[in-house]
Amino acid sequence: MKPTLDITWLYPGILNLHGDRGNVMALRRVAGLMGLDTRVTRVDRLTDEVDFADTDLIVIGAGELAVVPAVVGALSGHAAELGRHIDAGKGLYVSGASVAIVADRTQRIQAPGTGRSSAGAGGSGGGGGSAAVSERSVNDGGSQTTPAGGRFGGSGGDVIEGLGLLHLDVTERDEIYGDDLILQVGRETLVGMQIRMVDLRLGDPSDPAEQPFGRVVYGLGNGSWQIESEGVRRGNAIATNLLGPALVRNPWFTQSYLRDVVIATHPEVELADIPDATWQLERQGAQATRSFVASKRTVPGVIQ
Amino acid sequence: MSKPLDGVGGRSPAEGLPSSSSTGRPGGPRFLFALWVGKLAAALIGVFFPSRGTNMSGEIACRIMPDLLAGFRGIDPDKTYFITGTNGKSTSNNLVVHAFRTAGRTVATNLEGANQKTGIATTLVKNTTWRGRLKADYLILEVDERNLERVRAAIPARHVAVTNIQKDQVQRNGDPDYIYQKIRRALGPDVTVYVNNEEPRSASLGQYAGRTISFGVARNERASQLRRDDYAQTMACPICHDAIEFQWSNLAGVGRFSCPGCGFASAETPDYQIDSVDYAKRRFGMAGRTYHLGYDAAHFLYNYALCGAVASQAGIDADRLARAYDSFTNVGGRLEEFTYQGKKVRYVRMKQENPETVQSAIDDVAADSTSKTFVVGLQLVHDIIPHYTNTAYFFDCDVEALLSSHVESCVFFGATNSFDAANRMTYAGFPADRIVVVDSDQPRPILDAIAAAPTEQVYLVTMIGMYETLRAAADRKGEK
Repeated sequence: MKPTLDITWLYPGILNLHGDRGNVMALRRVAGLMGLDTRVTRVDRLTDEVDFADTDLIVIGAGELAVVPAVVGALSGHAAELGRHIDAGKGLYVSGASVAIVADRTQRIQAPGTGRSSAGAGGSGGGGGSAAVSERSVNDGGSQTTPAGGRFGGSGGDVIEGLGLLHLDVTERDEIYGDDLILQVGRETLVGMQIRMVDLRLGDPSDPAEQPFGRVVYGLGNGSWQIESEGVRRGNAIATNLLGPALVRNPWFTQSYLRDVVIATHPEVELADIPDATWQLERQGAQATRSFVASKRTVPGVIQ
Repeated sequence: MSKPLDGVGGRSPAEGLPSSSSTGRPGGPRFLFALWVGKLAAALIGVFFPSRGTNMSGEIACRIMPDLLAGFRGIDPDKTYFITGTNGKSTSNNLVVHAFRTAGRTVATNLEGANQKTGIATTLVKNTTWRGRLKADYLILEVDERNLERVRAAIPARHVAVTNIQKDQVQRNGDPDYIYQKIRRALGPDVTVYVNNEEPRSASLGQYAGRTISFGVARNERASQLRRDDYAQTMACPICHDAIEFQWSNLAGVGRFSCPGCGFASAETPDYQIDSVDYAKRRFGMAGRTYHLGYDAAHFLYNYALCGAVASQAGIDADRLARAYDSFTNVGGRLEEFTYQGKKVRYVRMKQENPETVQSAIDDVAADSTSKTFVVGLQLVHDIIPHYTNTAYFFDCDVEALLSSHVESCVFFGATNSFDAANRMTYAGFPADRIVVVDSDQPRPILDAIAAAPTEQVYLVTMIGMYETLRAAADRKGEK
């Protein structure tokens, strides 16, 4: 009998902005190739009972900031349990702006939807348009603007208290930033895209337990304080804005991540190797993205 | 009935527009100068650059007077309609305009889809007198959802119709709540809002308007099968943010719904409902009357329903509405056909980064049970700088219906996205040996792949620009 990996998929109907179900499909597929069965428990409603006791890996897809307070409210009674889950080396994979759910706090901009400019909303057409990261002045009482248009502090909007599982300050960006994103994570190069709604500031970058998820090879990192870093990782808890879905487009990382989770949760299990030829489409897709990125015009403030 | 506004003195300047004190008095000399330059530009553009006629003259006039929109006269707010939303606003706008004109009413509009400020300015420059007075009784405009608030601040329409609010152009919009907030701020107690009863975000907008008229479509033969697995359709409730539950759906994210968290739900019967559909006989029923269904894709029904609501509220009777539906031809149709080297290619339009239109396209293809080849081009997103690659929205779609609808082969094309898009079908379980990848945006290899398709019937799903490029190339090759 195969060992079973228990995955809890939190609120897929609410947190589903960027094809996030793909990440769960990738976990199933890769785990299967590694010789694991998977049991995915889908938690749909905010009022549903949720039991993390047997969970090996929790998946939280990208969601709207507007829903974060409701999700935090639903999970607040589990914060201590989730903290122990992370400390035990079990998995937590969070995408996009849903990092606000697991962070310490999130500063929203004043009057959501008013301060955030849709950069280039007039439509620039082809290659001759202005950069989407053009800055705009904000009356924010001393905030600082990042090279690519985000800003930290003093915006005067609502503060959302998160679950505090990862020690991050999150700030909603004035401008949405959408682009390709290439990260170096350990020995792996990860390819995807980003729709950056928030900037992150790690609570203590020198804390060895909590480090950036990846080094930015191309794209925009966490914000002006950590422009070359992206996301955060504490043990096997990861929050990243690498979308794609990232676990579909980078199955070599999915494999190594699952291996890390299994070592912590089922150390007795021997995992099968997956022949690299299995990922032919993904390798070709990643190469196509890298070739395209290499041909792009430079955007100020973006690692290239 | 209110009197037409003569200028907008006393109203706040539109958000994002300079105040009149800094740019000239609305209706004053600067406005007239901008208007006349715009009219002259429109005449010249019409002769020398006809393809830029929907936008350029307004752009020039707005450079002279940024708050040009607020300076026009003779616009009756009670006879001004804005059609907005994520999907379907062009078709809905064109249909409503056609219904009004068929009923003998004069209408100024932006039929070509130039729905931003400068496009609307162009419409007004072309449809006003030399003093800036509207020459039509009605002003009916498709308005970009991002710009609705500022356009309505300049032109205080009392009728706003919202087709739907869905995931779209995430590089610009981020998430649907961003657009939702923009639209709801454009509403107010003086507005009648026409809402899609079966689309939760649109349906919830009534709380921000003085009056709400709902339109909808009853469950019909092409309603999607609801799933309870990974593909279960749902979204965050716009009121309480719990998960909406759909009882059935006519389109992705559009159907009978309720929120178990707060009780928000679609009305059992909307004010205007298409209550029966016969796709085979191309007809539908609404309020006891049968109408011609000119376009048989399921999403068109919501355009017809919206039009029925707006037109009926404007006093257009069922006979005139029927005549309008009989004679309506959509501009830039979403379903077109051409023949290439013995292949019957049926084009199904989709929008960039818009999973609902991709899902509708998939549903249209899957509804045809004949043997077919499925050709998909998810293009590079080249909307604003930086251009980038995004195929994530393909994972928002349920493609598995294709597996049982006699798709013999799949072709994925595009220099940057074809491999990742193809991978979506392998995740659905489609045999890899029946997937062809053309990693190019050049027409020739794509058309070669179409010519080599194992079936006579070919469905082509891509953006309109790529379709037009392929169609033109196919026509050229056919002539040789």
